[in-house]
Amino acid sequence: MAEKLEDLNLPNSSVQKIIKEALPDSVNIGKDARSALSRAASVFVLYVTSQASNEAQKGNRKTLIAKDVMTALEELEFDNFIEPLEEALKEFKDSKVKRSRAKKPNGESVATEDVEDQHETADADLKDDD
Amino acid sequence: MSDLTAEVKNKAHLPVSRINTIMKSSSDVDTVNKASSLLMCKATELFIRILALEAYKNANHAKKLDYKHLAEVVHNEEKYNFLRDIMPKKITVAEYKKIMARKQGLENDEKKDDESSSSSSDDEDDSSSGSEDSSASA
Repeated sequence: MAEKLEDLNLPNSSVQKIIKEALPDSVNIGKDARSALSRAASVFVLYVTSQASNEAQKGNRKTLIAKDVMTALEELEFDNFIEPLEEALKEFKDSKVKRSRAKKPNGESVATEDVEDQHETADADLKDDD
Repeated sequence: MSDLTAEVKNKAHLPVSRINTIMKSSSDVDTVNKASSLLMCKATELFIRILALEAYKNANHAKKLDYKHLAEVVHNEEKYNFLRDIMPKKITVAEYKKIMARKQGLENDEKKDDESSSSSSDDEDDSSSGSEDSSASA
């Protein structure tokens, strides 16, 4: 959990790498620009989380699920994130299904329930898009 | 959009555990499931990428990405409203003095207006600027 304040910052090296990948090779990144982006990213997480938790509350859930995050992003005008994230989510679910099938041939009940639940939400997402 | 999709895969990553920690530090969240923190992690990566790219375009493709380019984008786009407090625009000392002078001018005007009905509930700014004035004139 967040014991120190630094735990709420993102690692500088990863942030630096991500920025470098996004920009052409020749571009340098100012130190203040990097730290500002890093801070902005932390705030972004909290901002989206807070919106997503509203969604969860509406659904009477105590746990945030992927759909809450998606809806939150849409509402906060980050709709252009949805499409690439759908892909990532699908990949994650596929790997999860594979793993749960491979690892737990018997004691599957809990895992599959979880997965099915998430598939439902993914379906709902798709319907929303139409 | 498809290049965004490509960018999500096989690139530098943020640690999901750290994202999870940040999400849970929010007071209105009890638990987050694994898919949602993974999703948030990817979203944050995209966020950094897109904001950096927008700032870079805004910088007229300069050689270096600076704070001021980021601040510019944040203050121009409505969807980045939530970042305005943590990314204030930098201003020069001369600009600062101008703003303060104008502010003080306004405050003085206001004071003249409600001098007769001088309410004690006026904030301290007023009284402090008032005392400065009196010391200057003395």
